[in-house]
Amino acid sequence: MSQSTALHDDGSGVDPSANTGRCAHCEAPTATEARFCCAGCEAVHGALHAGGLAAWYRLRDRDPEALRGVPARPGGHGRHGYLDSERYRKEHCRPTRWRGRNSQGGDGQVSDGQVNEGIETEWMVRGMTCVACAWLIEQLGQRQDGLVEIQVDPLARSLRLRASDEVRLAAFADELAAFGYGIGLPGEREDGEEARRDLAEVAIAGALAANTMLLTLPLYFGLDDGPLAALFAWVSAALATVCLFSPARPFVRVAWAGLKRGVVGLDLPIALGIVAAWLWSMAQLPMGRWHALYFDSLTVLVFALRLGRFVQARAIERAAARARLLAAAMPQLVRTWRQGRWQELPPEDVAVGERIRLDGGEELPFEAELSSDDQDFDLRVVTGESRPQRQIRGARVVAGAIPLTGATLVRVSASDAATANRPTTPRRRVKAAMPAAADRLGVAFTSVVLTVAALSFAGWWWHASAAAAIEVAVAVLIVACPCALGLATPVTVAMAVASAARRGVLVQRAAVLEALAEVRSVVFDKTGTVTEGRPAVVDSLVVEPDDWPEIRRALVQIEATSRHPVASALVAHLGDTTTAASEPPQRIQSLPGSGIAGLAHDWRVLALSARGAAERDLPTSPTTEERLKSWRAAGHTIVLVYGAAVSPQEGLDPDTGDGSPLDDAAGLRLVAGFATADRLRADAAATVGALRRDRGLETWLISGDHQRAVDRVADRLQVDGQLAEASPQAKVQQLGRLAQRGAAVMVGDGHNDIAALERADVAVAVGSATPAAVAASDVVLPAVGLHGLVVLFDVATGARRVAHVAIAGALVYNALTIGLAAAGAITPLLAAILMPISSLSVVGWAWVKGSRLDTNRTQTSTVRAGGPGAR
Amino acid sequence: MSIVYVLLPASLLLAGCAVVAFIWAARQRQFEALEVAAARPLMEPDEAPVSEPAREPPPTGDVR
Repeated sequence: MSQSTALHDDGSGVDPSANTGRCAHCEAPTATEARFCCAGCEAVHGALHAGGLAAWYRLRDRDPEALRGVPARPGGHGRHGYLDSERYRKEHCRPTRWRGRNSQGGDGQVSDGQVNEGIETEWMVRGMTCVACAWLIEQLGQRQDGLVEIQVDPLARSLRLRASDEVRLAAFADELAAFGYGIGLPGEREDGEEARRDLAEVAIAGALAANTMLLTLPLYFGLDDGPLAALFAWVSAALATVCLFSPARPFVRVAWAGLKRGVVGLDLPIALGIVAAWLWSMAQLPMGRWHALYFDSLTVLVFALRLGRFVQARAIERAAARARLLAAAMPQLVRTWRQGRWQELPPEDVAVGERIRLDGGEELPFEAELSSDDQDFDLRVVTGESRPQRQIRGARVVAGAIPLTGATLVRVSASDAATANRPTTPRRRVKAAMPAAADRLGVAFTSVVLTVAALSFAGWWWHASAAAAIEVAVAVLIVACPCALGLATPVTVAMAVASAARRGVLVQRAAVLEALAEVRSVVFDKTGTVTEGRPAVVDSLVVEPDDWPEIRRALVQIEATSRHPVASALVAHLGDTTTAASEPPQRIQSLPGSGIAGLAHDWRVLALSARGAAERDLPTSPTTEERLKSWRAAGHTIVLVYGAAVSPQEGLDPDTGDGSPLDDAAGLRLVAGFATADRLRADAAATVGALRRDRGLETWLISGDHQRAVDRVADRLQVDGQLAEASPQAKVQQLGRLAQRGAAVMVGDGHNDIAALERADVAVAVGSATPAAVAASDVVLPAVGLHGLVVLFDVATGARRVAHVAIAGALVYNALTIGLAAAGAITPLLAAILMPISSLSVVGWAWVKGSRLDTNRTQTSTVRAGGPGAR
Repeated sequence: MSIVYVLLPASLLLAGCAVVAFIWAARQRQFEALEVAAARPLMEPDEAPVSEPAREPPPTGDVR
């Protein structure tokens, strides 16, 4: 490792010679002397300086939150051919035209006035977290031919670009990937049209409210008669009418639709109040009763309600946008045999029956028949099985399987299978959203208001006149308009969703927060959800310490050539991937079903499974046998490393392929042994414990994996129930059984969990989840780990408490004003003062309390359940 | 007070113009991606080589 203490100013504002213990690029903690945490950061740091882009660091430091959030996914970059395909142009781009500049650079060929035509498209960008990233991406875009305009939104992690038809989008995406940004395609094109219309209507409502108030003030301040008072009254009537037919329309429409279907929500009393106020005031105009007008109350009310709903919608949208990022994928071109050669085609264009070729590590995009030799497949995302599965020639392989070694030929047998690397549209969830607490009050509230109105009408008619009775009844309806009540929930939800997002929990659906209160059970998937989803070395033993350093080097080089998960675990455990990759072994031989053999550094090394070693009658010693037995009992996957020294002249010339088979048993000695296992996530046990103990939830572990593997994990987690070898249907059935006792949460990550996620009342996807699983979820935990579940429950409980108090407060206000109105004490002036005060105090309280949802955590969950995932 | 008969329509007209301008800006996506725009003044032109990036050696040379 080169400890570069370079004397250049790196623009980061940190003296490079002073070791801060943090990576000079990403600020992750580093080993004592290292300046960078990893080779990747060192590379990016170098690239930024080489490209004259060091200002990135200064911009980054503006925003301390910058480096949190969704991390870049390492690896898998540089394969963006899809972006230049006809298919992409047709399905993901829209034509656009603009005037003037033909390229983004200021001093390019500026052709004024000329209308250019091109395309417009959106990408999701992983690893983009802050303004500095946005700046960097813009700079990179300026160097790309054909790109005209880039609009980067670091909060939504999205990028909108406009380009001429000749642009090479794949080249731009490759360049971004070189800087660590991953490009994905949004499953659903979010144009933001609805948000813009919403914003425009809020603005209209605001302008109407302000102007109506201005016009009403003179009347309140004693402007009595004369043409001016009439003018002000009539103009404010006009403004209120515009308000009724534009910004207020949604309330009336929803209330009317609900009334027709017999559903009474909070929109009904709101609409009732608005319409009553308008009708009454309009009726007073011809009579010249300037002091009986409610136009100002009406417009202010509509503005407040629209603003509240706008804030809630944007908070949800922001969290959902970040979750969509995880669901965004880059479709890979498929190597297809057509017209006598391999052609790279978009997956949608490949037909059933065609032959396709996969290189090691590429995911199978379709269900297909294996037409090359037997092959090991990683089925983790498909079935949840942690061990690779062997498929023989001619076998059907499911979509999503990943061949582990070499080139694989398959014949497509079904083309419609969902695959992990296709962008997925978040499905509109079919399950009925629980009515919000405030909405459930709708029926009771409306009937109480109508009763009070009717009673006061009757009372006043009896004791006074019909005219007085109408006036009082209308006043009751108007002041009963539950503005504060209608604002309490949206504001609380907005604060809760934002607070959860700050702590890495992305809530995509507002109703989730309320549904969580009803939850009785939590179901976990195993592989990839409570475990890390890939094997890691958990124990090792060295038999021949003298030869081990050399054999270790050879072993790393040999294992680095394999994509088998166990091989990757060994490489990660033993060492340094960069040197291993740079120096290939002299020879390599895959031993199907048992391991790998290779020749490097004058050592012949075999890494074998326990069965592979037994088949070859290779020796183990009695002392090691003891350890192996305990590993077997613990269910670990065992790798035995055998080695034999070879002389360089032993006729093992890689060019001629000459030489004895590498797995010849002669001379082999056992050198070392490794136990690998799919480790539990560090915070899994603590999370399950916290949910069971603190919240009394029933916890289940349901997995497609083998009984023994599930038993072991269930034992460590102390769950209440478990189900092994479960098919997706079995998972759904079990969820159904649990749901009979109360709402159920499903936590999953893979294809095999999707059906269960859709069935669950609340669906949670962990960060390593496939795009399709993310799309099927209500809540996503991108980086926090399982501890995010505890955070989620905390936030939901807190939000519920805040909302309930706010609702109670609003009800008290309403009772007070309705009482006053029934007593005939309400005037338009009093209404205009009381109603905003009640709304403001309720909203203000919900806002303050809601923004403190963060700090509650320190007292409750972190202390008890805080794993490394808790940040 | 007859000036009010002029001022009132004028003020409403002004307010209307403001609303129209706001809606136009919203339609033009002026209220989206606000983070980058906020930092725009910090992005000095001399730090943004448009055509030919200065090729400096990357600061990773070993100085042991």
